[in-house]
Amino acid sequence: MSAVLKSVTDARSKKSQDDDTSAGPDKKFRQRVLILSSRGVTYRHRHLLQDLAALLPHGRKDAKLDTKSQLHHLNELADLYNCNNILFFEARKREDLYLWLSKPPNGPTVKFHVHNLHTMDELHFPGNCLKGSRPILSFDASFDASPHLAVIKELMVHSFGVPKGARKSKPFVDHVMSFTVADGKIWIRVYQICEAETTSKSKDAEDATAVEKSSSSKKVPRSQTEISLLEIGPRLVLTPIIIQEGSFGGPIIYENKEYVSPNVLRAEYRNRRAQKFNQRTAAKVGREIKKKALRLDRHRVGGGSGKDWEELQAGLKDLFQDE
Amino acid sequence: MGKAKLRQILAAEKGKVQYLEKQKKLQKEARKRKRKHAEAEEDDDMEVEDMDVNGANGEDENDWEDESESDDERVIDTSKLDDSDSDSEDEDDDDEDEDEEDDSEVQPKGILKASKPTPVANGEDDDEDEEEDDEEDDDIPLSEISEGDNDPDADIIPRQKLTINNHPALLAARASIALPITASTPFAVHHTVTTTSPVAIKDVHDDLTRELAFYTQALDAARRGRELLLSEGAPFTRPTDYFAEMVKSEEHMGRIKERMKEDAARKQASADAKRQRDLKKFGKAVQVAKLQERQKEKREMLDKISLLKRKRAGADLGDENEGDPFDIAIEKATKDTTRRRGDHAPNAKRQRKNEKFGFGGRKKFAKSGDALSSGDMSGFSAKGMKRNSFGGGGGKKKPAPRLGKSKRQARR
Repeated sequence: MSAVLKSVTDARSKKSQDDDTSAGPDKKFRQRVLILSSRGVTYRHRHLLQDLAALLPHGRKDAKLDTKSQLHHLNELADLYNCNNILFFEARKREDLYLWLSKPPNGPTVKFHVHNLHTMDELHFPGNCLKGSRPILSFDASFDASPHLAVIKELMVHSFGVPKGARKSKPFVDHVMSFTVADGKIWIRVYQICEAETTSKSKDAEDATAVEKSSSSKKVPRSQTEISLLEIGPRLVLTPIIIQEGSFGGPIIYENKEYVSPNVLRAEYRNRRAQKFNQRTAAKVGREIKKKALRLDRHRVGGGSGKDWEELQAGLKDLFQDE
Repeated sequence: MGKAKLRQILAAEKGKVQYLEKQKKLQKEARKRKRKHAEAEEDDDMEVEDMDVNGANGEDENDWEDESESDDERVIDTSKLDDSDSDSEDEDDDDEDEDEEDDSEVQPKGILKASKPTPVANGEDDDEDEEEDDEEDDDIPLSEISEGDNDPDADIIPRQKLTINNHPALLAARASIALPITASTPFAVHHTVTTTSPVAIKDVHDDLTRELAFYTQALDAARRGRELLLSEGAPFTRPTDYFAEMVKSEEHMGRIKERMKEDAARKQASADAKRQRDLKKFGKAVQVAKLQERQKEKREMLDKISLLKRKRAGADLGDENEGDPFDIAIEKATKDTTRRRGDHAPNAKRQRKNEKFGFGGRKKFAKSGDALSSGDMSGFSAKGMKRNSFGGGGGKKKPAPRLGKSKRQARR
């Protein structure tokens, strides 16, 4: 029975699709995203994951992945859940977050370092939007300037753009997701679209109602609405690190030279501080030694005749001035 | 030599960089040679002892010294050939390495001794080959050498990242996953807007300009998307009676609203406080001025009233001023207030004297009492007398107790 129903509905949907576009490309637009994180994420990372999952109705949230070294298991997982995109958050040392954006089974994979991360919860922005409404994706033109950014853009369109007719999606559009390249990083912002009617209503009111009646669309005429944006959150900045040819495997076809690992930064910071300390202690020891040597001299003099003592004092003074 | 190459290839396949080992060995040999030369010049016996300690080849010592440099190098080469495998296995252990070298050096020296003229030529050939090999090996990037170097004291060579940016591969990867978006594809299918020109942000670290750039980009996208969707007849605006779950829950929005209210209240409070502070700064001066003004007004009013009263009294006695309007009388009265003592005009004699000597007259008894002042009882009241008298019946208020010395001095 269900099979019959399915066949009927399939035929219907196919017919409806044939009206505007052919079925082939539409199938290509069908996206499903597997959203998951590794173990060892902090609460902020988890909240970010939740926020993104709320914004992506075509996403499938899964339990934390146990491994950080064998990421190729993700391909099987995606296959299991019938997903053709993976959004994998990898947390390291409970502070660094990396985002893997992949296109299983054989598409490219991009690894990002996530920083300047702020979740919806902590941002207190007044914007809000429907859960499951489709966003307008706004891309910076510099995404098309270099091939690696073009690949990243394509992957982002796939995973962040909610496909038409996705299962839990709503038919209205009320938010924008903007992706901007600045300083070699990708900045992501989410805004709500606020439509406000302008006050010049008295004159056009009758016309508007007439238009509404005639065109049966519930839209107010375009000239009358003013669009403004309210930020919703979350905010994050992604630094691309590598692009792999395969999905969680294969040769590396792009590597960001400018990327510096947070580990290196931390180590450098610590080393600098250690150096300071070492210098200070070395100086201290050196001074001790000098003092000791001089004290021996003093013993030999034994606080005897004043002349010797003065000479010693003068020598001491010179010594420390040199320092 | 063919065998040597084969071994090299094998080693390379194993992932070992033979060049490194060779270099290490060369260094070691050089060090040893130097030391030996020095010792040879000093004392032969010492040398022997030293070698005994070092390894098994004490007998070959003297021959070893006589050999030419090219021979030495040959020796090194062969030794490397003989135990390249073992060396690769224990790179780190220096002592073992030395022993093995010593062992290996024994054999070729024997050969050299036996047939001296021919091997020299061979050695030269070998040298050439070696050089070729070296050239081949030189292609290894610096970074890899620095990796393999275990000497902690050696200068740290900064490891430079090799850039990978494989354009064709990237383009291919993109092409393999690209969505078939063409100009004819309806916007409702893909919902993507790309700006016409790259977004330029002057200073990324300046929050305001950066966020503004993002905002304008998103706003443009929203406008364009809206236009396109409306032109395609796709739904855009959510009807007011369409309710559905939102991304942020009611509770969350409530929290946000509360926070906004709090913020507004805080702003208001701070503005109020600021105004108050400003007022306080000038308030004192304003207050003093106001008080003074009020007192002045009061005084003037009282004066006028008293004068009026007096005038009235005068009018009752003799009606000279009856015809005059009210105001003029007041004016005249106010003019007269400048005189201190009584209103009576000076006598004729005085007037003559005034004319003669000028106004003012003598000042000598100006402050002494006269009939009029002694007759003035306005300052007297029975109540007042009672209050001020010691042990008087009234005595409600005690005189203020004498203050402490410091207070009294401060008051002065």
